[in-house]
Amino acid sequence: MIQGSDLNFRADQPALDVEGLTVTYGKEPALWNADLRLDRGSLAAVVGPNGAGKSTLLKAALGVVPRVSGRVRVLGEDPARRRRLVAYVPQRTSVDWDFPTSVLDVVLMGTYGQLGWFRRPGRKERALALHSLEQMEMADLAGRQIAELSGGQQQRVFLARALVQDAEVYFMDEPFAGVDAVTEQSIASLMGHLAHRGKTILSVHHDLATVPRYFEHAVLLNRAVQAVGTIKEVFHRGNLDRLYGGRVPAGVPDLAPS
Amino acid sequence: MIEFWTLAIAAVTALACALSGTFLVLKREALVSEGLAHAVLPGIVIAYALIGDRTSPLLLVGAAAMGLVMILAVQAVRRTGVVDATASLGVVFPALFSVGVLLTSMDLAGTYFHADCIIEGNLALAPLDRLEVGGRDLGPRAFWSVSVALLLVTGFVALLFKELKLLTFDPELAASLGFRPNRVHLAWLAVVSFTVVASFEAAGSILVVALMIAPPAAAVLWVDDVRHILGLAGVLGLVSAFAGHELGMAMDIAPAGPMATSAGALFLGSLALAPRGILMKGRAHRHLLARMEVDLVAARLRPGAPRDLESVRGELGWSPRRFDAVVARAVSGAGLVHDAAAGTLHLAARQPGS
Repeated sequence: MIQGSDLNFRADQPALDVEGLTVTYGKEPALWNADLRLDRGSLAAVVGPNGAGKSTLLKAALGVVPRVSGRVRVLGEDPARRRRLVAYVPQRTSVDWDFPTSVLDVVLMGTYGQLGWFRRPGRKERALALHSLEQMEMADLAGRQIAELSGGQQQRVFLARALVQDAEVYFMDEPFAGVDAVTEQSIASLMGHLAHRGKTILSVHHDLATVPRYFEHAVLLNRAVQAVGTIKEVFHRGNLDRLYGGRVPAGVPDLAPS
Repeated sequence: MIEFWTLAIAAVTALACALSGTFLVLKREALVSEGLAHAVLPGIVIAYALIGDRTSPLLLVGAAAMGLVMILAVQAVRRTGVVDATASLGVVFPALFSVGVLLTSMDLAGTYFHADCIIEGNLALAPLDRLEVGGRDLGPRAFWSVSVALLLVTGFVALLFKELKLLTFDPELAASLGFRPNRVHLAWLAVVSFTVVASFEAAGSILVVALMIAPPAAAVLWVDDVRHILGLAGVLGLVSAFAGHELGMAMDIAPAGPMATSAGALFLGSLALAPRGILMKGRAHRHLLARMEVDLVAARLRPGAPRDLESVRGELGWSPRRFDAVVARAVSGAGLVHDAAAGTLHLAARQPGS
């Protein structure tokens, strides 16, 4: 069986606890001595410049990149033992949308973790997948080929696939990238809804202007975690200038004095 | 009887190749088949030089291992970040192939290989090389080796269909769910490598590539579900084998060439005629354009308010010939009324309930 069938966790354990994490892909370190602690129920954006290690942080939290040093705990355990409690939404552009399969089939992939090796999805999994598609207002497209979807619909399919995992912690890589305003709104409300139910969300996000609107917490990352806290505490011009080397574009609301 | 075995070997080879090639085509790494087909040559020669017994099944395993060595070398070259995936494959397999050719010419393999067998195999003679166990004749050795390959391929796909599909579509999700996509992929490529080696003797390196890639590449143009693609690729592979065999008999030449040609012809035919092929796409496009033209004319008209033909044509900037053709279509299909005497166009009043 797949590892990660351990479903018990203590309610007071942090959703994600990263200490001294260093990851490298051979050249410069992608993450250097990063520390991060995220309570359950957090709705957090990871922001930082290109190459800051945002996607790497997610992958380390998923336990799929080798660590040079440091410790990662998801709900108090090694990520490899928490796979059943974690859902991952990769970048939409990381897959080949011309792949010959249907919308429902992609959502069903979210049930593979619970099924484990060899077992195939059945009627129960189909019902769960359809229900997730309904939540993303995509049920009428269940039989559609994924090659025929718009960018916003592709992202909804990915989120439905994450929903079907019924996880505690959601790691998302730029879920708002390249979607229309309506989809953006429904993704945001889905995130809020999940966080309200005590689920934890850590999402890489590029649009600084919408961070305060869609998120409650921010992780300011540039190889190391420079600041983490509520939007009010950490998402202000002083911190952002430091994070982006003083080149933060206008239009980012100044929420707190620096 | 020899003819029967030739056909049987060809059919099983085609089936094993088509099924194992499907996931290569879907993962957009069809070139891997080409790489394997060339890289296993030094493997075969070295394994033969070491084992010295051309009947040993270890020969197949040793040669297939060389295919995996190539895959690992390609991954290592790619990790340096100097060249991309395709280029690193292009760097590694010609190097291994040239080593194989060198070893062959050095006669390390003795009389095992004829240079032309490398390219197109020796399907015609394969039935003569028998597998004997305890003095009993079990049929041609090549038939048994490709049958084992077919069994491995179908077994792997039947057991790990879900996992293969997941890692082909979204390796990152596969990793996050704990399905170890790199290891499963490597295990799968080991099976593919074995298939290449087993097919090599009967089919040769070029035919192996043709049988691995052409049938699934044709199948994806007809159907859009991985299961159906697997099935259709298998059927197209079998058709190539039978057609190629018949063609070879009729023309009195070795069957390998006609088989590869048949596979290629099936692909070209699919590319032209299949729903996702060129003709149908062109037809769908023309159909859409024709409808749009009618809509453009209709959008400039109101029920019961005739407009001068020439002024409508002027707004659209169309040639008289094109405009007349569109108007003719619109009158028959979209409820336009063409008053030829007055030279005007108007929309027919809407029928109640329509």
